[in-house]
Amino acid sequence: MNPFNIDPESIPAEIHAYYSRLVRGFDTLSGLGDIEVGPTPKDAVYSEDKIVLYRYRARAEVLNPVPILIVYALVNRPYMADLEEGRSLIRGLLDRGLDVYLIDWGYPDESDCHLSLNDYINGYLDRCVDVILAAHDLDRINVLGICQGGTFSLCYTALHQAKVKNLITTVTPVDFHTRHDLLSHLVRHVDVDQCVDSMGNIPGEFLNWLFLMLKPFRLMGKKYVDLVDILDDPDQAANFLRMEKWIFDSPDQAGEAFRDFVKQFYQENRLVKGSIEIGGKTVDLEQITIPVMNIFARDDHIVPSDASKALAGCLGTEDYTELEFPGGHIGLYVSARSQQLLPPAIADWIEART
Amino acid sequence: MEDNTNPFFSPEWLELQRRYLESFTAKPGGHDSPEREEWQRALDQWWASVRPLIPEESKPVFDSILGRSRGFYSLSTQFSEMLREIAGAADAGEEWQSILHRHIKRMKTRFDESAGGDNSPTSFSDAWEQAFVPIPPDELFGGQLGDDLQQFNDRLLSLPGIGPFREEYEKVRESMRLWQAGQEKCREYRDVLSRLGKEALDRLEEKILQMGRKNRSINSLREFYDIWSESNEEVFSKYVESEEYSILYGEMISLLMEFRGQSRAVLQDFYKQLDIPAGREMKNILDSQQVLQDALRHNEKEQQELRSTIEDLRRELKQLRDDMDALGDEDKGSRRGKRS
Repeated sequence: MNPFNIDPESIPAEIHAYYSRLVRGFDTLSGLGDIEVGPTPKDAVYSEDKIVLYRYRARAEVLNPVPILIVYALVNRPYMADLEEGRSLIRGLLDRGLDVYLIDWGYPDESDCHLSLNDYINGYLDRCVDVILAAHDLDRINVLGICQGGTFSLCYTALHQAKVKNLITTVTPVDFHTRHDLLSHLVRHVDVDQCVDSMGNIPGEFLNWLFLMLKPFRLMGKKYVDLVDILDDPDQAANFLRMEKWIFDSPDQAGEAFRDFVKQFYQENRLVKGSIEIGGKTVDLEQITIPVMNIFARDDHIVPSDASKALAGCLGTEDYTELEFPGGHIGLYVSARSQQLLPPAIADWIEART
Repeated sequence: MEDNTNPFFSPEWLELQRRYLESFTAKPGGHDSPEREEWQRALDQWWASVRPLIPEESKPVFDSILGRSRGFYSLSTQFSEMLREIAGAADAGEEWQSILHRHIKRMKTRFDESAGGDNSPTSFSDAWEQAFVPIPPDELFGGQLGDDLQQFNDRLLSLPGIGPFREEYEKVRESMRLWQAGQEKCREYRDVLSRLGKEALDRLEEKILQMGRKNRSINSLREFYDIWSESNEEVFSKYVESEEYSILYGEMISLLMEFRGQSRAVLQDFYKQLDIPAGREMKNILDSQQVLQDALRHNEKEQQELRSTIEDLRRELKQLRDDMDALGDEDKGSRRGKRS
């Protein structure tokens, strides 16, 4: 059968209809005003240099006395976990009676180019944990890491286990050399010393380019053509712009931390080999004996699920839980389905271990 | 219904655009017709006039929407011709598959023509890039030079550095050399993209043939775009996993960073001559600041540890005092007992 069911005479009408919708839709987009993100109320409880530790205001009776600290990646901004009212992991956790803290790493500038992984993990992160421990008069708290923040949380737990009660990692790379890890494949031949020595900090735009080039036709092409279909609806258009804002809101990366991370983790894959060096100490994941919950996304193109699942074989704990969610890297935090599944799964798991 | 409140919407303009569209899509070879250029120009003018009305932070999104859709629909005249021929295939006694194959082959040839130096803004590969891959790598290097500047660059590179400003001159030369090497790498990258674009056309043809076999239909240009986009993505995804791409990408990014670093060094020399503190001086200050900050944190930590030790000792001392007091009380008690 000839599959073309298009009347050649109808092509100008189709193009015209598309542009008419586009022209009308521009009015919708330009009328949306400022795009708000991170709507859940929070208070800054500690700050140091450019980092800020936030505590979210309770939305329900706090049922769990042990707070949870969310550790986000250095790449992009942490409001992904609190994008809008109906799409917020943080709100979901608060609604289930958890006391939630989050570290915002800020936007590094030239003065931060010396910051190393040691500064981030044994410095900022450790001091934030101390602040929470002191505020609650506790010995240990729960830690939840997101993506690269999950990798940081693993390193932190291996080095400071006495301060962590339970660890949750989400879409976290552990084995950086799995077959379908395109990101790792792309940076394998980048001369990272050259990059950092030349630039100091690594500009966020390059990281954006790196991420978008993993699926350029979908992420930079088709999605904009498809946008015209939802331009009539201000809510959907606002959702689109909110995601765009997040995607292109990418802080520069502190040079030394970037060098450390790309070389040790991505190029040399030392986390699974137990040979990561941070601040002169070796990170051995086998030292982790506390309960660990590892959550990953089945169709993640940035951190393939295999890269996360590798954690199972590296830990010393006997209390290890794996949870696979349908969808992609970002969908885990923003999809409607995840809002129903992710917060209760985390809250129940913690509750059982408190 | 007319929308008088929408500043982006002009019924007269849209009507004019519709006429241009009808005119050039009806022509064989309409892709290169003056009407198509008029249509594109009118679109550009409209965009230039309404762009200032858009909030600054939303402009990149708007640019992307317009760029992608314009790129794709500017390719659509290719399909108008193909669809017309396919619609008349039965009368012409030709199979639709062979018409499809002929057009796919023609599109692939147009990729080759573009790669061979056809740099006109309406070239097929440009439109393809605009429709599907909006970030040409050479933009990261600051775009391409015109022929005149290229010749100047070549001559500059061939001159040896001598005299009192030899060092500065060498830095400029090195910067230009890196820029040129970067441009060559970008050309290589673009050639790869063109090659993948052609492979994607083969994939597109395969997909359409398969749809024919499965009695599935394509009902609009948009559906056709989706299938084409999917074909591009599949071919690209496979290539991204190759060692060839990893090396090409790595070399391109490393060169780009080296170029930017070298350019910065040249600029810093310039500032130095004007007696303006530049990056190097700032870096020295930042280095010292970092050392001080580390020392401060170290001292703070030590202080905290000392405080905690003092606190422990205080507690211990208090305990000892309490114990001594208790012993004293006990002693007094036992003496009293003996007396009585």
